Amino acid sequence: MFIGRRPQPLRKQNGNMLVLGCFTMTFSALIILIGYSFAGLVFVQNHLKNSAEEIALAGAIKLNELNNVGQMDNMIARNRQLVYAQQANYDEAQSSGATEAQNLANELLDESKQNAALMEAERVNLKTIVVGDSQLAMNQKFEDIFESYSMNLPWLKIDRVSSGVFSMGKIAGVQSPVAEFPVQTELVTNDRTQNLVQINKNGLNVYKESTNHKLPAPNDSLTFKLSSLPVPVNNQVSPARVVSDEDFVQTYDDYFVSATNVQLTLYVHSGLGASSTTKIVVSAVAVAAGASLQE
Amino acid sequence: MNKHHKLAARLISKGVLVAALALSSLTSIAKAEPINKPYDWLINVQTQQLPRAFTYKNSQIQGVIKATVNYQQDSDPNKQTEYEYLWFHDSKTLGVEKLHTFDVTKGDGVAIAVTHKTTPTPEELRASGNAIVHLVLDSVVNKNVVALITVPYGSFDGIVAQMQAQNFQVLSNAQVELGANPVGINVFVASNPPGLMSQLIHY
Repeated sequence: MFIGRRPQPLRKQNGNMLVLGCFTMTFSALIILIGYSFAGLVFVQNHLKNSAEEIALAGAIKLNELNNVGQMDNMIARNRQLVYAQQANYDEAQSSGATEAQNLANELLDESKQNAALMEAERVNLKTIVVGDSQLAMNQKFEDIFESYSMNLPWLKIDRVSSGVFSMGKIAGVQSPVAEFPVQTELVTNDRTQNLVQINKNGLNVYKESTNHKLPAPNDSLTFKLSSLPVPVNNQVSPARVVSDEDFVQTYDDYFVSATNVQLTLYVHSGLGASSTTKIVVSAVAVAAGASLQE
Repeated sequence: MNKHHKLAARLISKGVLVAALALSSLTSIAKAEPINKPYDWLINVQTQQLPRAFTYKNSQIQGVIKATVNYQQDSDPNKQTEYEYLWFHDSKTLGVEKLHTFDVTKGDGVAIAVTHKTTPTPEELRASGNAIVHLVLDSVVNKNVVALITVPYGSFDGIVAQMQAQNFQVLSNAQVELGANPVGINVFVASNPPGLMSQLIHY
């Protein structure tokens, strides 16, 4: 007969800590993976935005390369002054009655009008060139980057950039780069009456952009188109740079363009659980370098 | 020779004398010799090349010449008034920027002196000739007599050729003797240093 405590049943040696540990590790890894995926998405979005800005800037640089457009706007305005001055000389010579002065005045007036037509033809030619160069620069930059995004991971798949939309225009509120000429006072009066000049409180009045600055009759058939481009301030020329999207205005007219807008689209697919696709769209705007002072 | 021809010849010879006096007075400025000059105002024109202008492909206006013009009253040569800038492509005038009105006293005589910033190209000579023509008209409209135009010696032929292209005709003594009508815009162009001189007329 055994007298004493009954032996206690032995504790179970097998438990669920291993399973719990594995489950915890798996869950943690999943959380880390999801976190990494989100971080990756944010990174891709930022990277895509930078690429859009690079493309827009590459195009904007070409819009006023070597200050060709700034020079053209400035010379068109000075050509306008020339026609006006020669008309004034002609009118004065006519009233004087001196035939020889009338003949010379008539020749110089004719020359100035012919050269107005020449400047307009060159303006149109230059616009075609700068738009083409800008488009080409943006396309080349796009080709450099569009393949670089694709990535294939079990939980994340990034396609290459699916589309790039490039447009051109101007920045709202930026007038022409030509400051008002004050000496020919009757023309100044005419220009202000015709609302051809933006009067600024800081004293730098400039001719309005996207405007045909017609002269008074009899030269009102001549074309003097000035376009939007930043004016030098305190002799400082603004460089080509990225600006806010909100200020961009797309244009379809025949004036010079001074800004580019780039929109890029990218698809990201997630393979975790139910598959999902995220569309990332970014845009960037860049403006051309401002005009330099007239040489 | 009838009396008209004699009158013309006297006028021409007077004009040559005036031009010679004016030229010697211009050159004597450097020597500071007092001399009575037949002009009251001096218009200075300096031309320079702008090689970086309009350098886009297929540009029809690449290669611009700029002329800087100021005038001074001869009695106060230290006080110059900046008058205008002119831009040219070859012989075509592209534009002007007026810096001041042409406040030369009406009826006064003017002289025009052309200089170049660097050794001029043929295009710059054409631009210089055109600039002179513009200033001649400004003077004539303002009732000023252009007494003399001086240009650098090496530029004389190119500038006179451009003025001829703009319908200024060179008068020779032979033409005068044959009865050339001097009524028109008469100008005398002389080189500096002296040695070359032409009388031109625009009808």
